[in-house]
Amino acid sequence: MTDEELFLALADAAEPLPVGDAAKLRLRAALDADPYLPFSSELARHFDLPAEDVRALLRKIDDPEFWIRDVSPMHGHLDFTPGPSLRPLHGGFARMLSGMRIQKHRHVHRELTYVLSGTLSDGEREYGPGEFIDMPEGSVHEVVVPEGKEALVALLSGRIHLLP
Amino acid sequence: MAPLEDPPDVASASDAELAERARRGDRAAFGELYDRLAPALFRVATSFFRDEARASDLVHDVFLEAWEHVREYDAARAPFRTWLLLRLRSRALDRLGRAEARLTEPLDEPAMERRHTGAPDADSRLAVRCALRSLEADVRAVLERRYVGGLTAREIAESDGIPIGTVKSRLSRGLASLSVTLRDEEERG
Repeated sequence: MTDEELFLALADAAEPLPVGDAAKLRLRAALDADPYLPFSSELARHFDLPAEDVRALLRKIDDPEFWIRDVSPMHGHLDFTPGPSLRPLHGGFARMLSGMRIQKHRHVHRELTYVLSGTLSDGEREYGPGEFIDMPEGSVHEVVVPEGKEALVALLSGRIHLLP
Repeated sequence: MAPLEDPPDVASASDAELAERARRGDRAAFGELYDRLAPALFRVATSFFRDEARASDLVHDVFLEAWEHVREYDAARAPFRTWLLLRLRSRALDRLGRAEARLTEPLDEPAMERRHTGAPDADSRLAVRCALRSLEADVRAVLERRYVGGLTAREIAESDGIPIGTVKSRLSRGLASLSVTLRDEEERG
């Protein structure tokens, strides 16, 4: 048995000690201030950005001041510049309305869609928070937001051609 | 794939289900995990820091760090509680300036031969837990200070104002008792 295993055995045997309400409120306030924090590492990797920059961007998401509204077919978007290895691709968060459909299109450039909340469907499967759709150059798909809940996504995108 | 239906109430979900929901950014699920597991972590934190404010800060920081890294959690490797406890141990030893103690060296006390190359199975854990609960309070306290709090025998002696020989004697008795328990468990298994 290692020290670590003994530690776990002793910890298992110890009587829990209640935490106070102040500690619970403190933790909840911290979670509310950083609701998308679990996705920061993966976004930093996908968008070639420092983790601290991504954390700062994620804290802006729920502040309407930073959003550009009523951009069809999105509900709104918040732009940012991806890291140097991904330029000239465009980066941004987008809110997509429940039931929204982006018709079939071909990607001139790579596109990566990372889901932060809600669900997206590409007709073959659904993607929930923490999942992403990575479309290479020349690929074709359509995207639907299933009825019931708005989707919030991070997008790395370039030009597309809409198809009939 | 994300579920289409509304998720079940957090109160009726298992820790594993809550952890999976937390991996998808569900704050309510993570909050429920805090409500369930923070008291166990707080208890362990007070073994590292007798000052309750420092212990409370440690638990808060460990949960916040776990929220940031929850997508790295792998349920196939350990229960969520174990994942949190090991994070807490690591952070506590860092704060105490004992990073070297994080290395999981086998015990060097002669009464405790290394019997497991991997994590002990559930039966062994249960047996160890029972053995720990059957120990005299002062023996168990010294084991906790040594293996949960990360103190050396000399530091325990100085901190608790007892002779170092007494500390070593209690450690030896506690480890011998655990050793017997594990041997019996091994023979039964």
